[in-house]
Amino acid sequence: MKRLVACLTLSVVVAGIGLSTEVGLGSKATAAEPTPNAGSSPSAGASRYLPVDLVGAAFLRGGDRAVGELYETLEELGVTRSAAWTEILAAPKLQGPKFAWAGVTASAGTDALGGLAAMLGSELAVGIRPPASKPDEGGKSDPDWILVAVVREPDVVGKMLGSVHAMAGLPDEARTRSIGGVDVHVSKPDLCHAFTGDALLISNRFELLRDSLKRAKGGGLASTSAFRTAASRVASDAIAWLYADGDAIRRLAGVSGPITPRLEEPLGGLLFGGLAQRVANADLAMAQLRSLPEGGGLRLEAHARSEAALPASHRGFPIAESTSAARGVGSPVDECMAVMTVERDWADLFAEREALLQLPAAAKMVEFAATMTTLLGGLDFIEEFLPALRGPLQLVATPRDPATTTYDAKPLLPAFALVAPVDAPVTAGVPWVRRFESGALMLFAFVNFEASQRGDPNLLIELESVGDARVLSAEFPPPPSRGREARGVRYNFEPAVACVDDFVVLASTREAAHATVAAIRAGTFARASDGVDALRLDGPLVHALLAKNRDELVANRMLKHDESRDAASTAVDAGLEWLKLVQGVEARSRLGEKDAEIVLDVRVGGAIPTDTRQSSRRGAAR
Amino acid sequence: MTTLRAYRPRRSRPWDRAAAARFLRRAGFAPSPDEVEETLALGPAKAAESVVRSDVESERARELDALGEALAVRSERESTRLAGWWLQRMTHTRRPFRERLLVFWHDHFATSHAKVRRAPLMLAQLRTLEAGATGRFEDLLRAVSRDPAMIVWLDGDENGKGRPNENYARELFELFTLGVGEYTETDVREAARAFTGWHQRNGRFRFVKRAHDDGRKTVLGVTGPLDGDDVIRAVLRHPACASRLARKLLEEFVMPSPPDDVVDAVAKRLRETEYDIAATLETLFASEVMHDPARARSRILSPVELVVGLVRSLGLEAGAATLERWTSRMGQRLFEPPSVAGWPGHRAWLDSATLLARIDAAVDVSQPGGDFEWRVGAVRAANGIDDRGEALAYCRSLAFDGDVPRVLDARLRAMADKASLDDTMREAMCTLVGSPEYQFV
Repeated sequence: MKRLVACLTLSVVVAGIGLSTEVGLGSKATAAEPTPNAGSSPSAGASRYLPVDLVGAAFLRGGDRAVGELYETLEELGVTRSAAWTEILAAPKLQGPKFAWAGVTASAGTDALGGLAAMLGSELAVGIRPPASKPDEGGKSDPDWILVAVVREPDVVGKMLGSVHAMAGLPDEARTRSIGGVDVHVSKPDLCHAFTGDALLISNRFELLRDSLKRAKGGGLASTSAFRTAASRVASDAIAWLYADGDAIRRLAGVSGPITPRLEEPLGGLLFGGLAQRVANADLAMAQLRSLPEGGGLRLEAHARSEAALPASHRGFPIAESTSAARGVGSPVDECMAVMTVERDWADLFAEREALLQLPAAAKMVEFAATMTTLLGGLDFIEEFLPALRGPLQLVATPRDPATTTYDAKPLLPAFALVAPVDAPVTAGVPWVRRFESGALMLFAFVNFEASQRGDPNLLIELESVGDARVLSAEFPPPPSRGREARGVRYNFEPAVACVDDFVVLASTREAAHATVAAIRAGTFARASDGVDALRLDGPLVHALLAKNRDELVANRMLKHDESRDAASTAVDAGLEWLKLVQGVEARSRLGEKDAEIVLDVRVGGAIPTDTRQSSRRGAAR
Repeated sequence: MTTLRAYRPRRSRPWDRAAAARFLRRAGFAPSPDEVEETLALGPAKAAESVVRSDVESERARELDALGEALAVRSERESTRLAGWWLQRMTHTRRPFRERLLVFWHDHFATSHAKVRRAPLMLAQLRTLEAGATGRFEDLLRAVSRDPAMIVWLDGDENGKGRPNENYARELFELFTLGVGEYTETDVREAARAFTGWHQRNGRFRFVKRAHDDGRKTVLGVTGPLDGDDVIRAVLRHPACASRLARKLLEEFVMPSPPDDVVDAVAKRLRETEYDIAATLETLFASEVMHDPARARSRILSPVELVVGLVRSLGLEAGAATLERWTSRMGQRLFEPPSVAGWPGHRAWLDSATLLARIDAAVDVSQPGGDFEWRVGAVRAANGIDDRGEALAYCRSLAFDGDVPRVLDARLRAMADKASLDDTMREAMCTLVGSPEYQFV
C-alpha cells in the first residue's frame, strides 16, 4: 500500500520530468531498499533553510526512497503499459527536457530515475514569500519562492550539478557569488541555486536564497513557534505536508483584525460558514497526506488553529473536539451509495443569516422561508418548522434501477432521502406532524397546479399507512399508449414524505421513503450526533451510476470541450476505468473551540487497466 | 425593371479570392482559407448552386446533430444548452448557408422558449424549419402553422369555435407573410376562425374537430368554409407576400434597405418558382446583385454570424456554453427572440453594451487561454509564417480578404513588435476583429 500511496503522490512529478520506459533503472535497487522513517523530525531537515517570513511551505518526505517504489507500483498496476502513460511521455514538450535529463544523470553515473531520486532527497520543501517591492520592474508581483532538497547522495547530486554548470558556463565571475562560503549561481535573472553539500537550494530571487543561507544556522522557519506547533501535528508516516501562516497571509491581503466571511450561496453559508470563519481567521493552518492507518488508501488531514473564539453569530454551528468518533457515517440503509450527516441549529443560523451570508443570499433565505410558510399551509417555517428540527440531518442516496422506473430519466440520478429528527410539539391540540403532512399535501397539489398550467402530466398522489407511519407519495403517470420515454432530469423525482416516530423523511421516490422508514424502525438513523459533519461515498456504486450515465457524460464532453464523439468517449471511458480504483471516500469535518479540522479518506483498490484507449474504443463501438 | 442578371466575372468585377470570400460571408459565415479556395475554383454559378444545394455534411456536425433530441429532453426547462448545441453545430457544418437560412427562419417565425418552456418543443420547431427551409414557402407555412411550439407561443390551444384567439392569424398576416396595411381586421378575425381547433397535446399537433369552426368565412377576398390551409393559400396569392419575403431575404443575405426594383425582381422569382426558396436564392446568389462589391460592408453582422464566423475562419476552439455566452452578450439569445417580431437586427445589434461585448470577443481571441483558443503556433506552422510581414498578411487575408481599410492597415503597420511572432499575430487579429469595419459584411 505504501507503494500505491507513493505512486499517487509522485506520479505528477515523474510524468513532469518525462521518465520513460526506455530509461534504465540502474539505481532502482538502491531506491527500493527498506526505508527508515524518512523524516523523523520535520523541522530538522529542509525547514532550517526556509526563512521565517514565508507565508507558507510544502514538504515532501522520503521522496528519494519513494521514486523506485513508485515506478514499481506503476508497473504492477499496468500504468506504464497504458496508452495514457505512453501519450504523456510522448508529448513533444517533454522530449527536450527528457533528453537533457538523460544527459545530466548519465554524467553522474546514474539514470533518469536514480537522478530524480537523488534530487528529491530525504526531504523536499518549497516555500513562498510575499513578493518584494520591485519598482524597477514595473510593479511585477510574482511571489518569491525557494525550493530546498536535503539530499542523501551528495556525490551524485554534486556530479549532476557539475554537468549542469558545464552546460551553463558556471561558475562564472559575473554570475556566481559566495554567501557564507557557499557559491550561489545566478543562471537566469529569475533563477539561482546553491548546493551546501547536503542541501540543494533553488529560488527565483537571489535575496531570498541569500537570506536562507544566512539564517540556516539559526534554525530558519523551524525556529518559529507557529511552525513548530504545526509541525508537531505532522504524523511520522506523513508523505507530504503543507504549512501556512495565517497572519502573514492576512497581512499580505491587507487585512487587519478579525474577518467574517459572508458566503454567496445560502446552502454554502449554512454548511460551511463555520469552517470559513475559522479558516479565514486562522493563526496557522497545516495539511498532511498519509496512508490510511488501516492501509488501502490515502488520508488528507487539514487543520486550522485560531486563538480567537467563534463569534456569537456562529453559535448555530456545533462544537466538536474530535473527528475520530464520528457517528452516522455507517450505512443506514442497504445499497447506500452516499450518506451525509450535518447537524446545525437551523433556527439560530436563520436568525444570523446577515452575518453569515452576503445580502442577496440572506434575502433569498427570507424569500425561501416565506414561500415555504405558504406552501406548508400555515406551518410557519421560521417560528415552527426550523425550531422543530433537532439533531442531525441525514441525507442518503441509493441506486435506482432504471428498469423499474416509469420513465427513462436522463441523466439517471440516485434516489435521495433526507431524514430529520424532529421535536414535534402539539399546538392548540393539533400535532405538528399532522400540520406538516397537510402542508406536504398542499405542496404536491401546488406542483400539480403548475404542471397543469404547462400541460405536463400531473403527479398521482397516494397516502398509505406503513405500520403506524404514514407515507405520502406522488408518482408520474405512465405515458399514454407508448413505451418508456426518455425524459429530463426532473423525472428522477417522484417526491414522498413520511412521518415515523420522531423523524420526518423527505424522499425523491416512494421506494426510498419506504426503505428509510424501515431503517428508522431498525434504529439505524441517529437521533443525535457528536457535531461532526460526515460524508461517505461508496466507490463501486458511484462508478456504476456514472457508467449508466456514460452517454450523457460523453455528450456533455462533446459540447463542453468541442470534442469529437471518439475523443470524448475515450476521455470518459478512461475516467470511468480509473474511477474503478476508488473503493470509497469518507470526509469528516468539525469545528472546535479554537480550531477546525477536515479529514478526507480515499480508499483505493483493484488494478488500473493496461490500455484505457482500447477499452474506450470498445465502449464507443457499443 | 431590374432582373436578377447572372454575374459574369470581368476585369472590373473579377471572380477572385476576395470575391469568393465576400460571397461566402454573405451566404454563410466568415470562411476559412480552405473554403475560399474551394469556392474560388467552382466559379460563381457553381458556387451558388453548391452553397444552396449541397448535402455534404461533416462528421462532427452529424455527431452534434444526433445529440439534439437527448439534450433537449435533459434540459427541457432551459434553452441555453440547446442554443449552445446549435451554435456548435454551426461552427462545424459544411453547409453554412443552411444554418444561416435556419437562423433566418428562426427569426422570421420567432418563437421563444421564455413562454413555450419546453426545450423539446423548441427543438422540434427547429427540425420543422430545417425540413422546410429550402423547400416551398407554402409547405413551410403549413408546417409552422401546425408546429406545437408555435401553437403554445401564439395561444393556439385557446383558439376554439365561438371563442377565437386571433394571435396566430394576426402574426401570420403581419409578420410571416403580408405586413401591416395589407389586410383588414375582418381578415384577421375570419382567419382566426379558420385556425380554430388547431391545437397541440403533449407536444404533438392535434386537430380538434369539435373545436373547429367550419362555417363560412371570407379571408382576403376568398369565401367558403375555410380552414387554415385555405387561409395560407389565400395569403400566398396576395402580391404583398412575395414582396415582403423577398425584402427580408435580401436584408438577410445581401444588403439592408434593398431598392424596390431589386425587391420586385426577387419577388418575381419567388412567384415564378411557386415560392421555391432554394431556386430563388440560387438565382439571387448567382446574380450581379449578390456579387456587387459596392455593397460590401453595408450590413451589420448579427452576433451569431460574428461569433460563428470568427470560430470558423480562425479555426478557434470553443465549447457550446462559450458560444452561447458570447452571442447572448452581444444581444442574440437563440431560442429566445425578444418578441414575436424577432430580433430588430441591423443597427439595433449595436449599442454600448453589445459593442463592448464584440470588442471583448476580439480581445479574448488575442489572449492565450481565453474563451476562444486560437492556436497561433499551429497556424504559423501550417502556413509557413516566419516573419512579421507574412504574419500581418495572413491576418489581413483572414479578417478582410486582403482588402483592409486604410486606417486599419496604418494601425497594423504602426503596431510595435511583440515578444513573439505569435503575440504579434494575436495583436494584429485583435486590432482587425475588434475594428468597427469588421462588424459589417
